[in-house]
Amino acid sequence: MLKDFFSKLSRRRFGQALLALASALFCIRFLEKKYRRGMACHAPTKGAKMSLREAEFYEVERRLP
Amino acid sequence: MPPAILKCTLCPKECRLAPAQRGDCRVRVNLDGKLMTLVYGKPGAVHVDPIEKKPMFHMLPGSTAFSIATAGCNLHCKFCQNWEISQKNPEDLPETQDLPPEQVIAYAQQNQCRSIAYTYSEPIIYYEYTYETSRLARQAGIKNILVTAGFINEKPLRKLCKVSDAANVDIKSFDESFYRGVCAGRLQPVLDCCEVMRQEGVLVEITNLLVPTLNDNMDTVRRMCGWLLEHLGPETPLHFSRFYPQYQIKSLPPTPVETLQQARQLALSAGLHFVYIGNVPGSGAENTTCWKCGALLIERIGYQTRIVELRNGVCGRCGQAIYGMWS
Repeated sequence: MLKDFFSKLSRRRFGQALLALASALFCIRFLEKKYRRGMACHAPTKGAKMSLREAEFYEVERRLP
Repeated sequence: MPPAILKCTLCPKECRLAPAQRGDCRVRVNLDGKLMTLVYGKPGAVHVDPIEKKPMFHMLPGSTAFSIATAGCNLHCKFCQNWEISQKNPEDLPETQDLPPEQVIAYAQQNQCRSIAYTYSEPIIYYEYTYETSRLARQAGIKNILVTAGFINEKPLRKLCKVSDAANVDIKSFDESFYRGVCAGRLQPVLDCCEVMRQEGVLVEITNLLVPTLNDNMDTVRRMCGWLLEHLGPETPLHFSRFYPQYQIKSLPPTPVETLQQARQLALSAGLHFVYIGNVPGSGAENTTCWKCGALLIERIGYQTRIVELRNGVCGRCGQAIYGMWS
């Protein structure tokens, strides 16, 4: 069935689908950056300029396995 | 500790953090199922400033404030005047130093500072450092000043107010879309913060930086003044501050002085007693005058201050009590 589907798909349609997919991925990435800014940062590597101390005011939402 | 998804409840953003992720403020990180602050005792800026620079005009005029800041902020204003500290990760600051709270108090005393200002970036995001330093400062008889955008949840705020004496809260605009689009924040939590501070007995001054075409609409200014009158009272000092092209907004000109004067006139005619213009030295709108009789109480030129008619917190001419912390 899948083979049948792809054989019917013209090169132009395939290109359009690919473009739509790329646009969607770009939009998702853009929105993620916009609304979750900073949250993708990872733990420090250059520890010399930082100090670690437990913070106040947080909740454990769920433990991971 | 097993790894966990954490929710930071310090500010209204309430970031949900997977293991090894940082909050939007850049300085609170989920490590091994615990939320850790990265900046306790690690300021990136330490200065002795005139208290007028904060700006605090109704607190210990002519004194100096020992001023500290760490990296990070929970807002991301495109016009930030301190973006080189506030919009950086702690590890990216060129200079930081070990300055535990006890050392801050010692330096403040050595420099004859009557107050400590938590300023430049955002004292809320280095909450634990601010709180502990403030607690020790109280014991040593030094006042504490928060210079903040006021974007904080109620519970941590009430706790912090117990050790804070004064605050300058920066209301960025009275327009929700401005907060969301230009600052990555929200207006209502800031207004709530101002009210809670007043309830807790903190001396509150307000700053509103006017950016040409973005938040200098006089109708918005009028609404803000109306809210201040109703919720904080006419005695609340208000500073209209001049914008200079900075950070991500370099294409706009500095705020015209006429716009600032117009906003000031509007606020005065709305009924606010003490309205100032900031970042415009020599404007004449930096002096404190008695709202009742018009006597000149404190004269300011830049950071030069001269007490004229103010006597122990009252007007020397008519006896009117003046809102503030004067001794």
